[in-house]
Amino acid sequence: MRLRRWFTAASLAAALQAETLRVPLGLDAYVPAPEANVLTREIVELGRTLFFFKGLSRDGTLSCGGCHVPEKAFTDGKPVAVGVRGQISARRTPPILNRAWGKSFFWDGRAATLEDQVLQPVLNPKEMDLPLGEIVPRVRANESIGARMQAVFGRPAEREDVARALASYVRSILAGDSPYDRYIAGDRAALSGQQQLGLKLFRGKANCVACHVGANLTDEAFHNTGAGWRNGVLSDQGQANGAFKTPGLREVARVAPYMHDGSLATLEEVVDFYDKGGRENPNLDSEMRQLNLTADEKRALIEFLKSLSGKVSEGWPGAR
Amino acid sequence: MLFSALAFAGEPAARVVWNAPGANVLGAPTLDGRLVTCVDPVSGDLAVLDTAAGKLRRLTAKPSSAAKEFAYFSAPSRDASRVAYAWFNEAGFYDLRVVPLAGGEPRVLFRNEESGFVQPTSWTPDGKQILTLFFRKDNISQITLVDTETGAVRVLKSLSWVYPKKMEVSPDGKWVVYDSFGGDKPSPRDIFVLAMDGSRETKIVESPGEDLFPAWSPDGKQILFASDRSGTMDAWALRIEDGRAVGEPRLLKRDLKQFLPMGVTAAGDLFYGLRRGSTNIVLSTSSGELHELPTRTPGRNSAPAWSRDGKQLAYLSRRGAENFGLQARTIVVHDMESGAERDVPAKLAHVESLRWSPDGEWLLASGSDGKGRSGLFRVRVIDGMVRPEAFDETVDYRGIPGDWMPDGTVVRGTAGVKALAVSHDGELVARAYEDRVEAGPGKWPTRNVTWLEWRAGNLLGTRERRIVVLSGPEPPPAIRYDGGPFSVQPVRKTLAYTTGGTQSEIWVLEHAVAPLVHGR
Repeated sequence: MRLRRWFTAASLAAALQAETLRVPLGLDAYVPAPEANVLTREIVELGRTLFFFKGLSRDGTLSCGGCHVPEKAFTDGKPVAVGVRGQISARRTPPILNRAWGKSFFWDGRAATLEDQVLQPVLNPKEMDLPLGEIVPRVRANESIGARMQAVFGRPAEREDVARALASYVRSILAGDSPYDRYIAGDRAALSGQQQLGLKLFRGKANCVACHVGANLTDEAFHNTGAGWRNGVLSDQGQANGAFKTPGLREVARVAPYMHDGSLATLEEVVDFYDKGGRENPNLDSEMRQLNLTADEKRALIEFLKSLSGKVSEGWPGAR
Repeated sequence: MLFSALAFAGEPAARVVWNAPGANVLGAPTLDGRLVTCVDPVSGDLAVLDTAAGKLRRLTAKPSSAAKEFAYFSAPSRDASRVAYAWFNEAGFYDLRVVPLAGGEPRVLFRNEESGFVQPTSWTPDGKQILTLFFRKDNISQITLVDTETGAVRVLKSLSWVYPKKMEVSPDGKWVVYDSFGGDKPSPRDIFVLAMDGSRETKIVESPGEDLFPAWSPDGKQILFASDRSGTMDAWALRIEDGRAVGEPRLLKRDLKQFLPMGVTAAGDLFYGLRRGSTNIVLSTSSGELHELPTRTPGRNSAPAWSRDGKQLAYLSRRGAENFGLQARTIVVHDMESGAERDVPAKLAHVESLRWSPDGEWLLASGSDGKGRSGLFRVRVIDGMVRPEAFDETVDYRGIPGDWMPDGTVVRGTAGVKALAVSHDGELVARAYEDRVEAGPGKWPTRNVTWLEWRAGNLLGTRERRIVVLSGPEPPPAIRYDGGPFSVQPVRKTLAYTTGGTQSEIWVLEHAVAPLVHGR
């Protein structure tokens, strides 16, 4: 008993002294961050506070974490995002897992870096609706946050500092250590027989790897699957001509509904959508085609997708 | 003052260490420079080359001479007590193994089909970890550290199919230097330093040219690397402090051609590989004349494919400094009338061979893409757009054989088919297996048929570097042939084929950098 206590204390001490984020199985030890915004305990934890700070919305009712809910794999379970005063957006709140490895941000990729991205929902009239000039006064007015900003950045809070801290916190949101990761690492029992068949389909007949590749199961590219088309009409341009960024599939079973507009409620509906080759339109991606999956194959594919759920961590290890 | 560590005035002298047939550059020198790990070209076993005596000593013994197993990349530990190496196992993928350099039983350190290609590159100074490149089934390459006791793996960084050409642990065990594309898309390589604890990464070398094959100096204060920034492939050195570049790179030796730095000894000698030779496309007419196809990049071309009208020839060309290892090959279309050439910018990781569609709009490429899929791809000639045709997860990066039917559909090879060809009228499909060729009612026992084509109703194949006629009443073609993959021009019956080959050698550039003073 005493020994266990000693180990616990030692583990805690090690965590407190951690100089890097602790990454789960399946992810790289190196978590990318720009040289101008290196990940440190202080900035990540400051970013965490800002992430849940409702003062960044116009009426003080909504924080970033109000839509990116940690318990829901950092999305909200709604078909489309709901902002202050109940305003409805056109697109779903995307899960923000492992975005440190992202190449562009938002469904349409309009932000090139996390530092560019994080303040846009704050300013968006349909989301948090805070006027640009209000960000710094709101942050400085909060005594605790203002003081921490001063301590971390060595100056009174500026808008860029808020962006740097929020971006750092988002980089700390990591998902991994799933049955899939354990299987890839060599534990052949980590996936059931049905899930292994699903993985085979994922890589083969179902052609999911045409877009869902890499450690985060996304190519970070833009594809037209027809999801933006309704009755022969393009409802959302996305990045261009109805193309949207491939979402990562980590925790996918927990982040329903699906697609950029939340139009598919379940994984079964998603698999059916792709089985039919998406939705025909003039710019349909060349990888889209009818798959002719059997009912058993569809079930296996869905069971495999469930194996992508593991552990989600956020913040600096041992910081709280 | 910046490069006072360089111990020469002018360019250092180079001498050959190993240039026997089958010499290979798959290993690295020991820190004392007395041995270089390699593959025994006769048996395929892991071996060490005595650099003074020029003799090989085997470190492994294959189960039998007929066994398909063989050694591949290897790296000696810093104290020269052990060698880490890749071993192509009986199940058809690569283990990471360790064997005592003095001789003894090999130990399997890591075995996982999901990471079926492994390349050990260097050891940490304490001998507890091996820096190893994994290449996964899903085409991710990973810079990893493998624990030499437990085999536990720590992934430092994942890359796309664009794996590092070379990477090394610094002598102080704090950094990894590696080369990779500068961005996410194919582009000239740059050089990066990655902290072993994963805390940061810095791009230390960047130029419009190729910067690649980095190796540490023995004191860890410099990086040696190859670069063609000056127009030729030269050896350069760059000072490093705390994982960052200090000052500008300095030229060490000019124009080393296709060279691969293998490692630097404690005495400051740089061991490197050289690839000599070339591959070209030869046109052979029925009158017995031979012409080399004039190209923009002579010496790096292969796998010709005629268009059906005989007016264009597509082929594969290696570019830039892509001179060792699995190569991304550029598709080139050569206009036979004007001699004009243009690249077809297809986004594929590897192309093995090409077949031109009957309407001339598409090329059928066997190979693999950047997403881990091997098979057949349609490539639109005009703009390089890729449309996947068929995949097979049981085959390697070279893809599967296939050919066009007259209506523009594709026939693909199934399991066991090594080569495939459709007659131009679409009446017959020939398939070559390990032990036979089948076409229509005909069956020909054979072996080593690597290519099939139809010419005027006759089925031609290659066997042991000879063209053989497998069907039809005509006598064997009177065209000269001494090469590899070929294509028959249907109108004038000109044969295009790949000729030549390459040979690797190991050289040493003595006193390239200052010797190590303060031990290991």
